[in-house]
Amino acid sequence: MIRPGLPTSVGLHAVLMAAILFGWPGATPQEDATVVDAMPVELVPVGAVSQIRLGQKTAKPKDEIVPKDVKQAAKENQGNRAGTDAREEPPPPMPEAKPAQPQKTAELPKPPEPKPEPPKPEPAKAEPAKAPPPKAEIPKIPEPKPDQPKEAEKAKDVGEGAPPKPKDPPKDTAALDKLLEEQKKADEKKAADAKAAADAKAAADKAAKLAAEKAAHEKAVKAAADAKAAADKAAKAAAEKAAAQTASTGTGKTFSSEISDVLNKSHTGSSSGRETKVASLGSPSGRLDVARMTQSETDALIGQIKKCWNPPIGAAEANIKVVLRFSLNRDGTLNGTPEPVSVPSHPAGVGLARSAQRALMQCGPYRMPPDKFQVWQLVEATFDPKDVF
Amino acid sequence: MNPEVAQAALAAPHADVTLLTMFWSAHIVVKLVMLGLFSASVWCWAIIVDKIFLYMRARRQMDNFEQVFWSGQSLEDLYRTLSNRTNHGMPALFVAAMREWKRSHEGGRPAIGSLQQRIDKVMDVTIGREVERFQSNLLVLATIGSSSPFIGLFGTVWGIMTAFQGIAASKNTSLAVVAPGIAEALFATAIGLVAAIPAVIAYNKLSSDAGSLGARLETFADEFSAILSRQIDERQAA
Repeated sequence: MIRPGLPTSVGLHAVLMAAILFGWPGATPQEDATVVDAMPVELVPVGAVSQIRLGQKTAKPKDEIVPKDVKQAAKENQGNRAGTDAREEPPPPMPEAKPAQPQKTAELPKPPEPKPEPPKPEPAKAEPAKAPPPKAEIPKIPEPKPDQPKEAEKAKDVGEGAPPKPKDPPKDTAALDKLLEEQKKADEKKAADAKAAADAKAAADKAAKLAAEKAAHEKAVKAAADAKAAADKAAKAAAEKAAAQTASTGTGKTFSSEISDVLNKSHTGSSSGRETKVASLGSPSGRLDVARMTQSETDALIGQIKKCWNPPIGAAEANIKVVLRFSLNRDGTLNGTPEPVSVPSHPAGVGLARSAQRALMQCGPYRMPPDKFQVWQLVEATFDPKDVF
Repeated sequence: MNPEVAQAALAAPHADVTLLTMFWSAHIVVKLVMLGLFSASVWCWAIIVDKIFLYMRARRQMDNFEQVFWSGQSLEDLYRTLSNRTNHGMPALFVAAMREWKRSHEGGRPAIGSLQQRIDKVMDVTIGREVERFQSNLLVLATIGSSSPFIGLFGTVWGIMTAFQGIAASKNTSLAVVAPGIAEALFATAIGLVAAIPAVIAYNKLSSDAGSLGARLETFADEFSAILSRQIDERQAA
């Protein structure tokens, strides 16, 4: 008797397997889940944030900006003033800058820098004939710059970091501005160059100049031998004024520099190297055009998230971080629940991921540029509790 | 913060979860379970196809035979045409009974006394043999139908166990790490169900068919036995 069963069954199963493996005839092939690139967002320390900009030309000097200690930062601060001033009025700032040091040194017990005296004569000269000296000193500007171009830059950055400065200038400088303006007119060419300098810096510089000018006046009246005393007085007066007006610029600067110093140290000390951070700018598949999101837009998102984020206690010490992936709707609201991409196995890891999830859910809707929806519709945010503290 | 890590996490979960890759990436135990269930499915369908054809043939044979049997044709002629070939079903029953009848009338003195019992016995034996042929292998279907879900479940449990061990090893709880293992584990249960469902349905259908065919044979045997019994009594009376 013929037993058709087995061959029939085998054939039937073979057909079935073939259909499963190669798809039913006429069936549309299962399309792959479209891979959407996540916009990388990293909640990172201040220093690191600015490093992300390294991809842009302007960010290059970042590494140099890092002050190594508070003292140096203080010097640089003044240096920055000098540098910034120099553009407007090359000659005065230099001397002024040095007198300014005494101010800060007075505040920060650092007396050893009364060297400014020698330069003072220059400012004194400058006063009588402000126009001429600047020109004469113009050559000097380049001199100081070569010495501390980096410092100047650093100082600028530090100056940016210190918000209180802008407040100082307006009051003091009212009278000085006129003088300065005269000088500026003389130096207009340079002033044009100096436009780049922030107004705040200019104001701070003016304050410094005030002090310097006073000192110069005093010097003019007194003998040159009194120059040191005059310089000190001028410095003190300037410092007092500055302090009286607002938080003294000197302390503000030093403090800010301290902060930045600490931040930088902590962040350079962290295992997450800069190279890796720079690399993070790119998207894994290279499809996402990260450059289309401006840094300020990204920073806005980061800031908004950070506001609501309370990392669990102990997470920062654990040296763990969590990556969350979430998608946003066009109106900036959260689409679905943020999904952890990787949760560290540390006991605090789950708590950290939860806190990050909560933060993301609380902080919405996010204000994002609607025209770049393609870029930020999927975001991959790295939460590092070290950044918050 | 560390893009390498993020990238690795992104790259790790393969979107490639076709059935074949799922099978090849499975643990050896799960693989064996899958293969066993697949072959069980093949066997089960082989039995189903065989039985369906067997029952169709048997039914057709019975129809034809009954048509011939009740057509008034001489039983001797019918026996002569059927006796020199192998028969199944009703013809086999008829041939067995007629052979016993013939054998009892061979020789000088016919043994008619307990011929009726002998014929009944012979037909009972034949019916038993035929019904056994109908029902053979149906128990395999029953077994596959009842046990392959459990076998598939075993494969699933084993696969999920392996998946969780993988989680423990990788120290990463993201769904992308767990998903492939669980998918492959569930695949085992799916195969188990694929094998079991047709087996259960076919067992119920085929066993009822076998029962009805057996009942038909019994009916014919009773009718034929009644005819033969009448003949025997007539001869005894004669």
